[in-house]
Amino acid sequence: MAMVEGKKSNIKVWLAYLFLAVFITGLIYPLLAMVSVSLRPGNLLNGPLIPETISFEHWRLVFGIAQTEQEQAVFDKFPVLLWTWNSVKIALATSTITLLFASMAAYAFARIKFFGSKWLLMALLIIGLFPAFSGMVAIRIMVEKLGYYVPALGFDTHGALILLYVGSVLGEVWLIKGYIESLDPALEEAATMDGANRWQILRYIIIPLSVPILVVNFVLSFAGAFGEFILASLMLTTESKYTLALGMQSFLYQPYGQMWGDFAATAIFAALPITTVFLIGQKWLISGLTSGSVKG
Amino acid sequence: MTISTSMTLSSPHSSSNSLSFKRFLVLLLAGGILLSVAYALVHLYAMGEYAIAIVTLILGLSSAYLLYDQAATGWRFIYPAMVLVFLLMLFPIVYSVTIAFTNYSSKNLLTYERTVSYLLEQTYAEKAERLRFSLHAVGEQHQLFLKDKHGNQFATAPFNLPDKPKDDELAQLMELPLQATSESPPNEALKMRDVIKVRSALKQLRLTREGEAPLSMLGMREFLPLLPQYEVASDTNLPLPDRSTDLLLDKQSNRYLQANYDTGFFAYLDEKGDFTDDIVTPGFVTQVGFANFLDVFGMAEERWALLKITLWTISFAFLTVLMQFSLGMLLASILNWHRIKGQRILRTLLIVPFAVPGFISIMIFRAMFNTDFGEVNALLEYLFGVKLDWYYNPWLAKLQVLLVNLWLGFPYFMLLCMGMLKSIPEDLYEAANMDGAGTWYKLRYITLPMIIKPIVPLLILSFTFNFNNFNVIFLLTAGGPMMENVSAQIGDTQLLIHYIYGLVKGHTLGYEAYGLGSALSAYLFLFIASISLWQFWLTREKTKSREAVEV
Repeated sequence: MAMVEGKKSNIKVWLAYLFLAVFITGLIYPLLAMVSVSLRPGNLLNGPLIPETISFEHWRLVFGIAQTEQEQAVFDKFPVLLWTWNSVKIALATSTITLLFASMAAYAFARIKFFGSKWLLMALLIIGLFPAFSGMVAIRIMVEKLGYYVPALGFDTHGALILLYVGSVLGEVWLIKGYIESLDPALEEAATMDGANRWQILRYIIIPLSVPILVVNFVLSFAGAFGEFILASLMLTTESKYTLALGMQSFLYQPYGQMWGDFAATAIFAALPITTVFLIGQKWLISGLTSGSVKG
Repeated sequence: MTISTSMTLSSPHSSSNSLSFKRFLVLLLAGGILLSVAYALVHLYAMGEYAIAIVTLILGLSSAYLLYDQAATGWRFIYPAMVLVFLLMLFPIVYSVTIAFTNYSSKNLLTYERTVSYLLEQTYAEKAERLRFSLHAVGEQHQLFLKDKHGNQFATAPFNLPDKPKDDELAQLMELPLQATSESPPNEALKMRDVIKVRSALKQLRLTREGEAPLSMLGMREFLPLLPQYEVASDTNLPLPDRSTDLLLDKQSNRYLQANYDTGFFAYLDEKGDFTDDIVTPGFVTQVGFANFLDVFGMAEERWALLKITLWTISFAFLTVLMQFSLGMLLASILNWHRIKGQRILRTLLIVPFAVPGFISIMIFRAMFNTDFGEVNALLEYLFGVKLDWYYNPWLAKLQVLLVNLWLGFPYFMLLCMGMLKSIPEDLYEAANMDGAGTWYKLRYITLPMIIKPIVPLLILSFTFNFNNFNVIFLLTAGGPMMENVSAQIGDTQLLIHYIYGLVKGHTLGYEAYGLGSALSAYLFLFIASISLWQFWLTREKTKSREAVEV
């Protein structure tokens, strides 16, 4: 740019930096405050940002390491590690199943010409916009009836929840389809010449080439299932079956006041792995999130 | 497995024999599916599960067909995903709409047949036939002696009192046979205060007599016979209008009842044979046509509440999109400015809200906005000396929801805008600079026109998403504060989807109104579908024009 940028422009740059600094501080502050709450003794919310005394009582609750019997009794009511395990289990099953089915469907939509594929894609786009739980009355009845025939998929089971989450397969079909379309079809044509069938092409050519988008999808659908809350609250009633997202609620609905310290420690414990993966892999994950028009 | 497939891959001309054997197996499988579907259908039909029967039929036929038709490769690939979408997204929507035409609710939960058989099981205590009792202690055990009005005496054998039911259990009934006896009681009857102590255990007793109705305790001194309250009546002296439904006789009050299919309840009849407002619960499920669809608008004082919710839902979605987009655009422009250094680190810091799982950040903000201990009020008090009531003032609650949603969503738009700004040719700005154009001019006449086409469908998408943004409301304010002078529980920050949730969960009306909730859902479906069709149309226009340019 051949423009002469004078002092006025310098001031603008500094103003921009100042704005960003204030803005980012405001942005990050709530998260820092939570770290501080989790390290302060007691379950109160207010206090100095830098704790005067550091106590790990809330972190011991997260990992279930009790020092006294009385503490053990409290900790037993909030089995954070068990909830985490439930969440991880459900999220892993969900993302594995959806990835498998979504990549199959995406391959067919991207590469195979078949009757009705165009209309189907359009219909799917519209169906995908409905929130998953908008048919909650019907879903509740369906799950109860299903549980009558298949108890493992009935009401208040992880199976039912996984089944409902797997319905989010749609969004992934779109993302993976876009990626497969961008691949060079020459390899597939060569394989077809050698007599490979569609399944072999998918297994030996498409999937190895699509690993980046598959990983992105896996992470996104894992995070989605991990953080899902409404369907879980509709489906699960037994406390030991709660997911972390659901169990964390119970810290804030106690008769003797909200347990902010325990909540804060659990929140950080739950958020840290996902946030870290997200920030490290932002380059790939963001392209996945912003290129697909279907989100959530 | 892997080895065999790779062998087939390397030797494409496998023998036709093994192929036809494979085909035979596939056909066998298809036949097996058809047979088991037929078997399941008979059972489902017999049980009256028509909706499930239809789904089973569709799934069975389609999977068998795909196995049979070798040309349907494409459909085979998409089949599992389509089954999931069909079962978990489409079917619930269709099913909801059918429920919307019924009066299904926690008041009208059972089928007609189940309701009739439930009513026929009901009993009432006949006061005229009461028996006075006395309780006697026999060692650790107890014994009951009863006397009827004719002076006949009955007694139980000595028995152990039943255990108290646990908190979440229903009381178990304990049956005790009763014998006529002439013996006098073994000792003094227990005092009233001792009887009161074991009252709940006595209530669990059913004293059975041969050939007569069982007895249960009422009050502190008596056992009464339990007689069936209703019986099916065949004939009445009432001038009945022509109705085909069952006629029941209430034996206690000697009045007739009949099923009213318009309301889904059994109602007592008056002398003319017409229905009175006096009804018996539980009701049964019945088709009510469009009543729910009209009721949504007709709930008297709640009509205004519903209107308020609708307006708030639209403004929430609109303001959210506007705020998120503006802030995202502003930040993207700053980050894209060539004189700002450290773009990567700034971007990473700015997308932190995007990286933290939403449900956690929303709950963190609930702490931040806490009226007494929250950091937001602490800051406001320090700066301006005010303390705001973020949860009980409707407008502040709305502002709070909007601010938190802005925090959650602006990074998405910032990232989108950063990508789009990069795609605008630099020389356009250079030319504008030459002409001495200001920042506003460049934004208005270069940037916005260049990004408006690709961004509009995404704005609409975000609008629909936020229109149904359940999480942020549910976790932050739970819909509160509650509106005053409305008899139903309706909150000021509730979105439509949250209102439906309240109807269905029973928070709003005090009972679980499935039919009404589904009717409202159906309106919501229509609204979302029309918006998404509009968006789809916009996207198509865009691709068309782009194709035209490329050609």
